[in-house]
Amino acid sequence: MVQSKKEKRADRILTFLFILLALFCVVPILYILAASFSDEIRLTKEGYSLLPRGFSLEAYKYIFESPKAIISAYGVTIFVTLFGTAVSLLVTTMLAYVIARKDFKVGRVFAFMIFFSMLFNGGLVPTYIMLTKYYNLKDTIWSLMLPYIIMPWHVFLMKGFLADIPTSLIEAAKIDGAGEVKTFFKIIVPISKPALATVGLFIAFTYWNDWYQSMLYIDSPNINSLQFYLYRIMNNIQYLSTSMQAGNISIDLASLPSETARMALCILAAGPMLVIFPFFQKYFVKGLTVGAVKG
Amino acid sequence: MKKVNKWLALGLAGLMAAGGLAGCGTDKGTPAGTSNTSASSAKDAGETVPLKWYLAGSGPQADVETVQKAVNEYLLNTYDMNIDLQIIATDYANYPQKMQMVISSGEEYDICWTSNWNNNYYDNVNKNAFVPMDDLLKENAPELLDSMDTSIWDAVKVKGKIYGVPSQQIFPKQNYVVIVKEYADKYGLDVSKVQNLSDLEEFFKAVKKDNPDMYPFAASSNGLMGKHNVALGFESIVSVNIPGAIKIGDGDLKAINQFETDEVKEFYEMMYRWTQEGLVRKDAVTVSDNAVPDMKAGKHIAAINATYKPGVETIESANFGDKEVVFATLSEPYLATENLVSSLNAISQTSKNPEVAMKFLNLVNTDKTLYNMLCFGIEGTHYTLNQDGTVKTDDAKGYNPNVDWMMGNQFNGLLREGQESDLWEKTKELNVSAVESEALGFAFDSTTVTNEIASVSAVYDQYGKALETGGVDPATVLPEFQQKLKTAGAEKIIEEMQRQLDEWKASK
Repeated sequence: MVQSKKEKRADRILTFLFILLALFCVVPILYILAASFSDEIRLTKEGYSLLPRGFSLEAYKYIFESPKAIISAYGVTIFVTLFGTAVSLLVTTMLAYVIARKDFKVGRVFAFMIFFSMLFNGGLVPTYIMLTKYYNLKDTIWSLMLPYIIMPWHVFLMKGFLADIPTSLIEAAKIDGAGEVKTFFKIIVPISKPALATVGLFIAFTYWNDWYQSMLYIDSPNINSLQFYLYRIMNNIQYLSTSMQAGNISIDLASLPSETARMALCILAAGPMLVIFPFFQKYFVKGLTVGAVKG
Repeated sequence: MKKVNKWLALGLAGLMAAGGLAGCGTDKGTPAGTSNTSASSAKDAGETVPLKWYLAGSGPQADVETVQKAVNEYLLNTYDMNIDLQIIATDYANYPQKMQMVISSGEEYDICWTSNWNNNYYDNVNKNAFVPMDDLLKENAPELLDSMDTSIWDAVKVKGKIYGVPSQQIFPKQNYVVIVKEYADKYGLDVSKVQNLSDLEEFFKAVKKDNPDMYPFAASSNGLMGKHNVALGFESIVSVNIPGAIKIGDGDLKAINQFETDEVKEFYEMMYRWTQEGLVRKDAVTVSDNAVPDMKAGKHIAAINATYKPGVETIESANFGDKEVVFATLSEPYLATENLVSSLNAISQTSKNPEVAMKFLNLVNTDKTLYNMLCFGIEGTHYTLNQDGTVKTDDAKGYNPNVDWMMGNQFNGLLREGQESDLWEKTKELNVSAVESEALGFAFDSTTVTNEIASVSAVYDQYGKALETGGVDPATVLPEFQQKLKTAGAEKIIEEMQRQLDEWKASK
């Protein structure tokens, strides 16, 4: 295949643009990485740079003195993300399939109910009361998982995919003797792989990035999610340094984690995901394209 | 057919997973609930009372259970008090939101920490979240009631009733300036002669001359007004950033707009001059973290702070990278209402056992063993005692909440490593020596001017911070700032303050 000159130029411009974009994403991470290995005093004196200011493992030593918290936070987040995504994807797909079926008479009622909850929800306090008083989920790992099991937006996204499946396909399955459950798992699920991959990714991100549920519902030190653990450390410093001036309380700011320790925490929290994600991404892309060709 | 089976199996597996989830949901619910069930069954036998205490801090402590158990045992053995204590520690930043949720959902709990800067005391009292504790105190906590002056109890009253137990600690506010000793010595500064911040100007200039890359005086986005208002001669009514203040020593209790006083104007002018001469960073308004990293790194050699207290030397020295420091106070120790409501413990309306909660608070504030157990954990497990009787804590041991001032009477606490042995005596002396505000006990109810307060605080954010840190020229910006404050409703706020002050004075 010979490229014309024009195409070559376009290629070059595109490559350049994407390299630039990639740099925008990668450089901040390199800064953080460099800062986490820097010497605290030199860092504050000379500011951030792409190469560590001096070399020190102090920050990592500080964190690994009591690694229990970060390890348990990892465990919680991984468990919630894996298990939550699996269950949520199953339930979301089933629900979306049902309301996407044209021969299901009350489908529209169901769709409206889901849509309605997207626009108007109970609000924070009633939700909190419901989860803590009636479902008794306070301070359990399920309070991090169950509230996100069905999200209206994901259901509609899924419904959009599933509605494109021709009715004749389902009828054909019926004629061949498949029951509803079999039709769903044997016909619908396999041909919706791209949709499953996309929605699954969205769900996984929701779980991975969530800190809010931890903040509201978790009291015990060992069921906090990773994001909340990070958020807490970062936010605490910010809060303390801005809101204490009026009172005569003096909290020893020197005892809070230093700049380098905070950066090291960022690396520890985000690092593994950075390494793992590209491998998974391959499968996502594969799933998407394979599906597209077949579908 | 084989393929059908495979998918069927997958589907079933999925269903089982969902079923398992439901099953686990109930299973998992029990461990958290076990303590409750065992507690309530014991209560049926007429004994254990569960006691839930919400606190802020750096976050939950890993080994809090051991401490809770030890406290329960100690109380049972010593006072025949059978409780099942549950301490729930949230971090400072999320504590207000979490408590708002707990309070508005009517969740059952017994005690919570509250203050005027985090989980607002007055808001919660207005919401009827707390039990008025006058009678409870008399009946269940006489020792606690006696441990503090009536003027202190009066100061925390809202509409004539006490809703919280103040934690005894340093109370008055005495503004000070701290300077790194080696520079003070080198440039022949006699700190005993420093009375105002402006006395340091020549010294700063001399330092700057020899060290051009230094900015001797530390300033940050947290503003300097809150750290300097007593020295400037006024006490704020809502906050230093909201118009409305009383001049110190003004027996008539006249509400004024502090941003229109000469003292504040002169302060702004001085800060502007200092930034122009390089004594303060020009971009100080963008610095967060109270400029501590820069102080540690040696970029700054002096700073001001709100509250001088015995033992502050250790903290300030740590802030300046463990260099020796010297102090000069810039005002008298001054006691206003805001200083007494900066740390309280209140009993919830939803508490089933307010008497027990009160008894517990009584002991926390009067029994040294109990208090130290709560502050530091268990000796040998969570901390060790040095030869001189000071405490050596270790974060890695799983219990070091570091919130002694939140829990109760700090004067009952063991000393931490590096603290002077006469720390508490000196602090008590300072508390007694304080000049009491003429408006001590007055608390402003801002409900009628909430909107105005929101708008003036937006105006403050736009102008005030830049003025305080010397980023802009007060000659042009100050009049604009004052005008904008007026438009935002500063006068209405001050009128309302005056009305409430007059009312309060008449009722006194």
